[in-house]
Amino acid sequence: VKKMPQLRELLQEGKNRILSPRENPLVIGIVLMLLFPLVIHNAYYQHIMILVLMWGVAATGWNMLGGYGENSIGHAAYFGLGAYVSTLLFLRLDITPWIGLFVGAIFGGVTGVLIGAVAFRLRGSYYVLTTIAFAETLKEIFLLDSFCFTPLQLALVVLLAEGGIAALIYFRYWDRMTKTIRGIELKYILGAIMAFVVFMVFLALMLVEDINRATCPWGRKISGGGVGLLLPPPHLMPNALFNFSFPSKLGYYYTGLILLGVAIIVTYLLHNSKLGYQLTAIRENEEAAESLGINVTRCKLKAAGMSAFFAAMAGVFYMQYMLYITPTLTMGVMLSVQMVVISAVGGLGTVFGPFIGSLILIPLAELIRVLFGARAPGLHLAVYGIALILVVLLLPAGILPKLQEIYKRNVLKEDSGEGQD
Amino acid sequence: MVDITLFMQGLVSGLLLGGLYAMIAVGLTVIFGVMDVVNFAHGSLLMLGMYITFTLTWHFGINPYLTLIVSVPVLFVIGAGIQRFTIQPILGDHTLQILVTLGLMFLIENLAQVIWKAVYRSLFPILDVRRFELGSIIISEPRLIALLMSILATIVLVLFLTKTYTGKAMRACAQDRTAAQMMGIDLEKMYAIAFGIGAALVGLAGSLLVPFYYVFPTVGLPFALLAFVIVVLGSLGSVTGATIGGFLIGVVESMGTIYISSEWRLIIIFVIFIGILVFKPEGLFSERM
Repeated sequence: VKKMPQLRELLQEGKNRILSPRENPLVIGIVLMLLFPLVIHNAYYQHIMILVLMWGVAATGWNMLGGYGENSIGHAAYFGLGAYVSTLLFLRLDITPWIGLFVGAIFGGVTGVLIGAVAFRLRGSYYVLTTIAFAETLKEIFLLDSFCFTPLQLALVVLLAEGGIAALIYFRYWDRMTKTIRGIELKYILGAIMAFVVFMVFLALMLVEDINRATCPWGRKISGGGVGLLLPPPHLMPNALFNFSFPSKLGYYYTGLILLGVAIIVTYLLHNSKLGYQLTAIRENEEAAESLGINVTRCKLKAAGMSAFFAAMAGVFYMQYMLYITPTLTMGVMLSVQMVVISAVGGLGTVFGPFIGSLILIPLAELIRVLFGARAPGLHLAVYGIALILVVLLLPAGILPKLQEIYKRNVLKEDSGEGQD
Repeated sequence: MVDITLFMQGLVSGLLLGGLYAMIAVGLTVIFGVMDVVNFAHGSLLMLGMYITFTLTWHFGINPYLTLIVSVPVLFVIGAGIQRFTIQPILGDHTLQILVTLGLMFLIENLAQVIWKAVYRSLFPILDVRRFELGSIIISEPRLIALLMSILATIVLVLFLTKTYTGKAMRACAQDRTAAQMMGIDLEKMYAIAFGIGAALVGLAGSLLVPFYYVFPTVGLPFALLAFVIVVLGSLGSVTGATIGGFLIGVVESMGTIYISSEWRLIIIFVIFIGILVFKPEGLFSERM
């Protein structure tokens, strides 16, 4: 009962904020996005906007980590993994991709944390290279068509690898006094190992299928391999709506919009949470942040998990809309770079930046493809490069902060010297 | 079941391949060592070198090894230009440096696709590739030339860095920017030269690659990824490390292909890479140039 007046106050404040000229662009933007497919019936324009939303989700996800100075170029791994997990769940076990959306995203998030646990030990260029290496390794594994180990060989390889790593950790990093490994308590490490094992077993069960036993008695085939996986088109899909498959573009549009909305709200909450402040402190000066008692690795891991979660969600959405994935298509370096480009052009570390970047770059690239596609294929992708270089050299903070500044100066008549909202 | 001939053939092939890898990696490591920039556009520069040689040989019938006179200086100028106009303004900001070289990669690769179209081209139809036999081991001539040239280029580079004034000045910049500037060294010029040398080396590698490899707009990225592995393996910034690392990765790749399967070779290399990053991130040869 006591909370009621507070709630009313909150609503009143919310109403005031929405109606204030400061928030006008946001409200207008939301209304425009909601009305877009109802006003514009052209399927091609709707298709472009769906791509904008999909890339918006992926880039917003990337920004949850990348915006805090951790320039991962391995987010395609989570994107692809999400798509693979949800699709395999559907093709093998007939589990609806609506559930796959979350299972895939959780898979992506867990992978993000696991990769981060290794990669966050490194900084700067080393960190960037590690993320690339992980994504490429995952891509190459998914590209394998089949393998032909006997159980004995497999056990030997696993034993040697795990034993070697365990021995190395024990002799080099085990701290007898505190019973920790580089400051991380044993229970977390065991937990991580357990998660990893469960994860690998699940992935292996999902990914491999039997092959011709005559040629290779213990061999297994990897689902898809280089050929990739296919989903039936919506009109052939049984229970289409139930299986995340829509007869018209409207369904995809609004699903994408909801995903993007959730991603943006989560980014907003993250920015204004304790974790967000801690991450900002880490970005500005990692040593100083650590000396203030911030657990740097744990903060980064949380951000990595959330970030990978949304990248994987975008991957599932991609699969449901495009109906076709291959490892090279969804896990390649270029896809990771594209997320970075979109975020950086819009504005690194801002709430709406990645979406703005997507809103600018995707239609621009499509426009150029339509205008010059026949004469100069590839030019539309070169635009990404030009946009990124120009933004970095002319507007290092990105386009959105500049727009905000212009809006404040010209519409709100505020001094440009004032801090950004 | 170890077949000596097969093993030796694998070793020789690996070393031949490793020479080229080493040269690509040395280019990358010079750029990193001097100005602390990881050049993500390195693969694109390799591709440019390849296309210069390919175009000159295919359309004008020039011997591919003569085209080095064009490809190496052109790549030097491109590299110096990249440094002067895109890296110099944002020097020191790691995030922006990464972004700008990624942008260059996107730009160059896709422009190449516009210019040369996304088709696999090769010189095989117009070159007769000679090969000779050493006992039972087969060595193809262009690969051997590539190896010898890359060894020569590395020796010239080391002599340049240790014996000439410019080379010494460049190493001074790598060790301490401020002190080097106080000694009156033109930092901007040294950086431009260093980036130019890095680009010229990778362009040279590209030209030498053409006689026995396909040319296509995205050819560079896999090589660049391997070069990243090699420079970390041999310690970022170390020329010796990158050279040895190049041969090492070449042998690992060729052995992996022979004894396991060509599908697994990159997985093996990346797993080694991650292992090194985790357990010995300073690399195997932690001395700077």
